[in-house]
Amino acid sequence: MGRCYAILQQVIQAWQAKDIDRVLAFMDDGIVWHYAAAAMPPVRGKAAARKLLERFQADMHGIQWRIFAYSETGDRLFIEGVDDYRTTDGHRVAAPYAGVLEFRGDRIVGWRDYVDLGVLDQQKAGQALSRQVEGLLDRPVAS
Amino acid sequence: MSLDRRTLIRAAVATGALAAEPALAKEPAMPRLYPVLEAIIAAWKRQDVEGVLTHVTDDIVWRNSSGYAPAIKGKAAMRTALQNMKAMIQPGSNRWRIFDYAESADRLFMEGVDEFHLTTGQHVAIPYAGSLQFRGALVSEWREYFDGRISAEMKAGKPITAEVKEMLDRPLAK
Repeated sequence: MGRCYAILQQVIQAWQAKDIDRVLAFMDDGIVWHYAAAAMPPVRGKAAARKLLERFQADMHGIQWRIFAYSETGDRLFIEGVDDYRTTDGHRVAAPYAGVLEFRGDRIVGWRDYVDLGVLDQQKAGQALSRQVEGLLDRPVAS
Repeated sequence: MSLDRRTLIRAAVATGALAAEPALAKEPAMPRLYPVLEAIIAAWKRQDVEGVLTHVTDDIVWRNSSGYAPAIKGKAAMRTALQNMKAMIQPGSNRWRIFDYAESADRLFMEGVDEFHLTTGQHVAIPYAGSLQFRGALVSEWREYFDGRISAEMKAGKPITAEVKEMLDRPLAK
């Protein structure tokens, strides 16, 4: 297992335990986080990241964040995965995405997730997962 | 014939000379898969559909959306999709470029932008990340992730947003 991926696994464990402080412990103070790259402005800095995590957490239940594949080179980690959870309204949301994390030492300083917010909005409104989304999710989890 | 640094390193590896030269041993591994992507990009910039297809398997699965459109399955279907795209893109306007990549075993991850002008004049720039699964030297599965609404808005003539521009202002991968 790569060094960066091992850190991401700890982030995932912390997020699934809804431990925001622990998630933030893996972020650099100057983090630039494109949580929906090119679609939304990034959040900059740990304080803004905390607010975003708190907003996410309020509507995410039974989180099954999974990584299907990854590769790392130098201080960058590339991932393919899914944030799979239920909203407070009971709708299943599972948006496949690819992301790139940049590290400074053991901390994440840049994070860019590429995801289709349109797909996500449809699922939040109660639409069932499409066949093409199911096709992207039907993969073994990375070891 | 001149010998460049990488040629010398390959020769050193073959002879075991690197055991005594730790500085050379730290040279990053030569990419095996990225040159295939570079060849695909070069072909597509020439709008050479067959040049692209020569690098994919007959049973390629091309998931060119983040889940909003069905996968394109098989080389024949990919040919049709590429021909349709080619007809919409101004020749010579394609600036598809890769900002960063990583490869391991038979998988290549990439971060880049599809940038071009439509024949109807609209400027389209779609930042994305994706992965290519290889079988030998051929791409057998291709997955791209981006927000389809951004693409649709630009194709409809809306200007490129500040959020998109921010993603484009990056040096190219080496």
